[in-house]
Amino acid sequence: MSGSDRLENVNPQIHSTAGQRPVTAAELDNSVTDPIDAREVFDLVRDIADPEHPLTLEQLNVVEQELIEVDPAAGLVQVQFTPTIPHCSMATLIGLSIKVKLERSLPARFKIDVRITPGSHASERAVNKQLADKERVAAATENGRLLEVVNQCLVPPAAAGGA
Amino acid sequence: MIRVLDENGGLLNITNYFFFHIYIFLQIYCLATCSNHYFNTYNLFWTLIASPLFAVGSTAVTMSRKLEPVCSLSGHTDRVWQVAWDPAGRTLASCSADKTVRLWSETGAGWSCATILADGHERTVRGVAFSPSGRLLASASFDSTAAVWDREQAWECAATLEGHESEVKAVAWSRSGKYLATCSRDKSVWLWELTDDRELDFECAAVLMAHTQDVKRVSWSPVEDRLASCGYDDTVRLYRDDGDDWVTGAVLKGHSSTVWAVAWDGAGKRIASASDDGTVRIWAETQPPDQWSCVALLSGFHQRAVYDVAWCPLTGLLATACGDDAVRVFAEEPGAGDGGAPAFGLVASVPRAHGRDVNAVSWSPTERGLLASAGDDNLVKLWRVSEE
Repeated sequence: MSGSDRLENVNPQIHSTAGQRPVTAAELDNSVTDPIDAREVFDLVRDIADPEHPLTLEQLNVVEQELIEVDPAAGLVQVQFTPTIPHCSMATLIGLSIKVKLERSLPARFKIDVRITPGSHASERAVNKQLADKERVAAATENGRLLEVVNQCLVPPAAAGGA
Repeated sequence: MIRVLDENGGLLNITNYFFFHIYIFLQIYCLATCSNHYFNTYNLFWTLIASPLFAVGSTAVTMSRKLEPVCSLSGHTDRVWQVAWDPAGRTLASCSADKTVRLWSETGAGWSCATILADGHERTVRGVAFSPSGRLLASASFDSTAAVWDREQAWECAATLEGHESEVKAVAWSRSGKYLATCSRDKSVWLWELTDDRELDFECAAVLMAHTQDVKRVSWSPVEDRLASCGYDDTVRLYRDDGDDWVTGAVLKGHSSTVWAVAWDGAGKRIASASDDGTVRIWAETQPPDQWSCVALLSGFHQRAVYDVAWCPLTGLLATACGDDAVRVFAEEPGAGDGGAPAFGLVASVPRAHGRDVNAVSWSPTERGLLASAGDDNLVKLWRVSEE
């Protein structure tokens, strides 16, 4: 399943990345409530490594801030991700990495829905159903080998030593 | 004709061909375009077309009862997946991703944990069920085994049932205690026969391969040896013993996503199913043997997946556990049954029953209106539904 022998997408397009989020005075002020927003969620997932390339999900445009919706009052986070090719067999693994990262990072009250951007993948329905099934996700993250693969994706490529 | 209660408790009848055509059009439209299963055809139909048109003359939701908290039981260190009562209503079992089963009972000082069963499973314990005699407790685990614990041996693990290829998701005892059903991600349902109840020997009586995807839950009829299962293939399936062999009977189709749970009513005549599509369906055997149809749809009440449904044999109340953190209680409307079609109304709900998803609900078999729930917040809670 690993792409080490034969890459599925040999020559992916690399996109420019967003800069660091400027820290505002209000954010540093502890007396001001600072609800979680789309940019904050984007910052959590942008550096997840692509399972196939030594690149981040942001560099491959797999995740984009515009495709993240956050409703702090209702406790909802919805992330759409766009696989680089419509037959990408890594789509479920990428989605799982995003989900695990957000579950580990966000407060427990948030419901996290991770879905494929509509129209961007051949098995969109099947992948979305798997990612929405919390029992399958729980069983997957209890599986040591699979968790190791997910954890590898969660180490940003720069920290892992780049290419 | 289907009779349905909409969000406001209004009664809707599909009698008009015009609306039927709009409905079919929407169904095709949704199949072609709709990727979000929470917003399925039915919801779209009721919300946009049917409910405004039929709203006149509908009865309002009557929150005629209250769901009062009794106690909150902490101890599990990870999400709690299921709760089950012993038949005497004195012990409550809960199972968790922390790999343990806890047994709770009431003492003078209230409910507390009496026993922890920690050495039976290597992974998440997904399901628990007491045998009809109350002596045995079965547990289902992601470690692909089911375990049987014996009250008479101080809750020692007395048997381990191996056979499934992957995660076991649920366990259920038949009304006589002769059969134990297990189901798994390997798409199969196994029936184990208790051949020696002193030595606790089990033999595999049947492997039923009707489902095309994971089987999430199994549930026996309370009046006969008839089994229902449901799962990731969006269906409910029924099985019976034809005297010679276990055969697959009706397939109940209608949900647009995973069916997480099935529950029989006290008389064994109807089945409630809870789904990831955010609805609960009521099915009845309209033409015995084995001709089942959906007689009611509870749509528009739940904001997210419905993970469990429980039908109280004492009161007839239906409780649901939902991914929107709420516990809801529904009652059948009296006298709503022309042509035998029931109608259900929401009579009580607690929006933040748990701090996270609610995974399970279970009615006390002996005390009217006593309900247990379990959630992703690691808690087990007890509630009491007030009488009307």
